[in-house]
Amino acid sequence: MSEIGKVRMRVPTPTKKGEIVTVRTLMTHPMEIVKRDKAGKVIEKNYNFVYKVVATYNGKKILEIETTQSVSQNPLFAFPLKVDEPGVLKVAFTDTQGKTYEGTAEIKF
Amino acid sequence: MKKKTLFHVGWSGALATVVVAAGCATTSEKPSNWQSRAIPPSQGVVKEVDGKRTQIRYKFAGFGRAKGNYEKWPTHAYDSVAYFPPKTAKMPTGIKGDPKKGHAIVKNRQKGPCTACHLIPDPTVWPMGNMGPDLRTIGDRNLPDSRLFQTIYDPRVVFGKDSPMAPFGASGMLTEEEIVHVVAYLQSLKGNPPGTPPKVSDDPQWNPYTRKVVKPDYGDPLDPTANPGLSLTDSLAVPLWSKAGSKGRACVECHGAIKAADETRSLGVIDSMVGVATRYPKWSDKYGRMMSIEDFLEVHAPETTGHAMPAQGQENLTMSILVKMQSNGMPYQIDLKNRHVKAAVKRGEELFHRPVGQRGQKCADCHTKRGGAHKFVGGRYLADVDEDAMVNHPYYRTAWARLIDIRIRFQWCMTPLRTNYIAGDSPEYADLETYIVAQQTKRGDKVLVPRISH
Repeated sequence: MSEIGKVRMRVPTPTKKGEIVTVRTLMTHPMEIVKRDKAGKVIEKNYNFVYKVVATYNGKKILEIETTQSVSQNPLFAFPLKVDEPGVLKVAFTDTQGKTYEGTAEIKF
Repeated sequence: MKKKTLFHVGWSGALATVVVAAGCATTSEKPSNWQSRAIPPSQGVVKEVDGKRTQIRYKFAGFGRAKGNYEKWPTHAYDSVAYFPPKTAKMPTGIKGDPKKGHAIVKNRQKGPCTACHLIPDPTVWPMGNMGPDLRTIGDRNLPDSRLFQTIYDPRVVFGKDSPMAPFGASGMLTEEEIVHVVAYLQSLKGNPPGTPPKVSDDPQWNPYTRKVVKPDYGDPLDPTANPGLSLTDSLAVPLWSKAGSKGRACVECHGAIKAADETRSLGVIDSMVGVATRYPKWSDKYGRMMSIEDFLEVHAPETTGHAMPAQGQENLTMSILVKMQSNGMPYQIDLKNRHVKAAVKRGEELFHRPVGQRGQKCADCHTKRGGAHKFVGGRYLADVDEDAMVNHPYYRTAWARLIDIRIRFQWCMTPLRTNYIAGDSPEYADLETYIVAQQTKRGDKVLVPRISH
């Protein structure tokens, strides 16, 4: 898994209006862990990990998650989504190096 | 389209060579000599390391712990020696059997291990298998000591040549003295009333006769967010498909681009590859052997693009997945009427019944109904070659957190059997694979790659 920031998404196709589907997103990211020296002191460094995950549906924010470096490498997030209208689901991951990676899935009936 | 024609010309060229060769040799009888091109640990070379001859094996999982060298015992290689014939033995008279010592030997996982196949009344042993008879009340059967001794020494004398049990004495895995102790222990196993096993554990999972087969649910295997095998393929084989190798060419030039994904081909559709995997393993006239997709990629990729793709390597495994998954949902249909394939299936079946290694056990011992199929060996539930054994490989093995193909699976089977494995890309393993795929073809099994499984 070499490509940092690749977002894979899986959204089941809803069969009717108002159905609740489970959205799964997997992001490739090293999620660096804060390291300590022998004396137990934190080694100062800009550790690269995802700290914010935002999901939007048709431009409307539907979910915001704050994450820390305790989340595993290549994190997987799954959440239920009630689909009332067809549209575009976007999930954006922001890491401590200031980069934002985005995954897009189109939902149709 | 133009490129596709080129491919056909190459193919018929290969056919022409055979017509010439057919006059002097019967190519179908035995595959030609094959120089392994697989990654080094897959070749299974025996070398001297620190003054001791050892087989160079993979480093991961149980392969890393297997230190023995069994080169004097038979393997699946066609030029391998045969296993020794059944040996009759007399019970030594000077030794008095000690049931306590016998119990320790039966429990010892480095010895038999007896409890992989047999159930004994000891709740501390876990997990036990039921491939062999339940021994909890064997003492009630009043069998003569000499018969039990012979059964452990070399069961082929008692049960016939096809016995799934290994000749523990004759092959030197247990000494005669150890067997005497084991016999004494077995004679001490009595029920109350006779024939009723003592209740020693309430856990239904302890007893293989009541144990449930647990199939963990890892989610949809074709979901890239659930199956790491898919994300590995996505990050390795998918870019490799359109990357030019040292010969300046790429897979995409002849075989076409990867188009948008659909439900069963979740990494994208390659039109020219749809259905191809259902016809493999296939006979190759050029190499005079059966070839699976993995074997073929190993020679085809360097020839055409210059990409090195040694068998059992990550590039080979993931590219095989990318190609095979184009046939997902389609039934296997290897050409069983082709005389080369017919001969390979026959050879594969012979290999399936060949005793190998120090234990002298055969694939058939575990994977047919006469042996352990649908039963447990230790905690492992065994597949049946006639019903559910399959070549839907490579798959993502969660226990090892890596992709394995059917050849690594074969090689892994060899390791607890005290057998040196042969090269992963060998024609012998290809024949064995052909035999299994032939059963799948007859059953109408469908391709599903990559699976995710324990």
